[in-house]
Amino acid sequence: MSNVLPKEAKKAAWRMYRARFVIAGSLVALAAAGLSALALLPSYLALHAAEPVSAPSNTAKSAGSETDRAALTSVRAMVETLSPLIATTTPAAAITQALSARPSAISIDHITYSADSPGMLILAGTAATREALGGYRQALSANSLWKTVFVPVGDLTGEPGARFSMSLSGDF
Amino acid sequence: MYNSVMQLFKSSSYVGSGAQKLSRSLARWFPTPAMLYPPAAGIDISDGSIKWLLLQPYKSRYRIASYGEMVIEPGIVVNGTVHDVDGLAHALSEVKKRLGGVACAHAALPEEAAYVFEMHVPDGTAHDQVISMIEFGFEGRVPIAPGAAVYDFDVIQRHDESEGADIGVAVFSRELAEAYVAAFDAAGMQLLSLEVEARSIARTISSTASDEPVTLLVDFGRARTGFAVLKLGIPIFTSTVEVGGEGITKTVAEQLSLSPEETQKFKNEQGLFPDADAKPEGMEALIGTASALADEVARHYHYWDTRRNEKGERMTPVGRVVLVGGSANLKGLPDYLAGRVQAPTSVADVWRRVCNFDEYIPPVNSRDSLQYATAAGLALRSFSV
Repeated sequence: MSNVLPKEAKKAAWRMYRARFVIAGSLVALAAAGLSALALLPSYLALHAAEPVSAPSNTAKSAGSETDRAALTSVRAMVETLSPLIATTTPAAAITQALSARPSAISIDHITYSADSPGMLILAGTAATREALGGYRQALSANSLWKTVFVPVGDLTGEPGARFSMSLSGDF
Repeated sequence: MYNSVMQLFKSSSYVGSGAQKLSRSLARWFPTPAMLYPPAAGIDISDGSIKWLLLQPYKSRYRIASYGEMVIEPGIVVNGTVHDVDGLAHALSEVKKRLGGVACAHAALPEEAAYVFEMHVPDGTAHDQVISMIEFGFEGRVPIAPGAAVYDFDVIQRHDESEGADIGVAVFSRELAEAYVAAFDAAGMQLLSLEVEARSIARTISSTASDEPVTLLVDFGRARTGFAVLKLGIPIFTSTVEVGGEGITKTVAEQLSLSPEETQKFKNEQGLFPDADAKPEGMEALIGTASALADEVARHYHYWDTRRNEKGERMTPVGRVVLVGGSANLKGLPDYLAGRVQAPTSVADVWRRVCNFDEYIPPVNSRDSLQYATAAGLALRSFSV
C-alpha cells in the first residue's frame, strides 16, 4: 500500500511500531519467565527442604547403602514438602505415615509399593535393636490405615543391626 | 488477508524481488499478532467537514466502533490545501475525543493536489531503481521537483514471462503533506499514512479480483466532482471538476421554496424521475447539473475507453462507472449517466468489504454511507485490506 507520508513522519510511525513490538516482546518474555518459575517452584522447594538427616551411626554400612539412605531421606523430605500439593495421592500419604512412625533406631533404605487391592507397601532396612523393630511394628499396627502389618519372625529375632523387611497392606 | 510487519514494508520495496517473496511467505505463515498494530481511524478531511470512521474486527469482517462528521469553518481547508493548521488541529482534537482513546489515524490527500500516473517497470527492478524511474517520470507529468514532492507507488499487476509490472504512482507537494502531518501532530494524533483519496475509495469498492474491469470512479461531492480511473483498484488517473450537488440543492430550494431537509428528500425521492405533478422549475436545476456532470463523465469515459497502444490495442477499456459521494444519491442519476456513456453505471456499495449484512447491520444507512466511502477505505487500511 502506498504511503506518501513525508520521511520524518514515516520514521515517527515506525518508531511507534517498534516500541509496540518491543513492549509486546517484553510482555511475552515476562509471561514465559513467570510460567517457567511457577513450573520449577515445587522442585526448588523440594531440593531446599531436603535437609540431610543423619543415619544411625552404630550400624556398619556400605557405601552403596549410604547413597540409598540419602536418596530415601531426600524422597521422604520431598514427600513431606510436597504433601500440600499431592494431598490427594493416597500412596504418598501412606508412605509418609509409615515413615513418620519410624523410631530413630530404624533405618529404611528401600520402599516398594504395589497398587493392588488392597495396596501393599514393603519397607526394607536395618534395625539397630530388636526392641526398636518390635516397637515400630506395634506403632504401625495401632494405625487403622494399615489392615495388616507383617514382619517375618526371623527378622524380629535377628541380631542388632540386622536387615529386616516389613509388609503393610491397606486401602491406599 | 495477512497482517504483518512485513506487509507494512510493501510500499517501499518492489514485489518482484526474492526477498520480498520470502518475507510475504513468512508473513503468511507467521502473521504478526494484531495487537502489535494500533487501532487507527480513517479520517477524511474536506473543505467543509471532517468525517471519521473507526472499525474493529467483528465475526468474519468488521463493525463500526465510531463514526461521524464535524463541520469545519470555511477557510481552514481550501481546495484540499490546509490554510490554517491550528484551526484544523483544533477540529482534529475534537474528533479525537470521540474516538474512544484511539490516537492513530490514516488520512487521505485531495485529488485536486494529486498527480497520479501509471508506469511500467522491468521485472526484478529494485526499489531504489523504481524510485529513480518515478523521479525521471516526473518530467512532463508533475510540475514539482522531486525534492519538493512526496510520492509512492502501488503495484497494479505483474505481467507473465518476466515482462515487468505496471505501477500506479501518486505524487503530492511535500508542503501539502507536511501541513496535514503538522495538524495531526498538533492534535495529538499519530498519522500512520497518507494516500490519494481515490485509493481509499477504491479500497471499499474494488473486488481485488484479477478480472475486475477498469473502473471510472465518480465522486459526486457537495462542491466538486472527482474522477479517477481505477485499474485493479489502483488509481492511474485523477481529476476534479467544479460540478457539485450543492448547486442543485440551492437552486431546487430557491425555486421550489423548500427547506434543506425537504430539498434533500426531493433529490433523493424525486430526482431525475419525478412524479407527474412535480414542478418543472426544480427539474430544470436537476437536469442542468446532471447534464453538466454527464458531459464530464462521458468526456473522461471516452478518452480512457478509446486509448490505444502502438499495436492498436485498447489500453484501458473502461468496463463500468461507479458513483460515490453525498450527491450521488440523486434519484435516477446512475440511469441517466448510463444512458449517456452507454456503460454499466451503479452507486457504490460502501460496506461491501466492511461487513456482511447477515452478521452485522451498520448504523449508517446506504444513502449516508456514500459520504463515508473515503473514511471507510482509510479505516480498512488498518486491516491490510
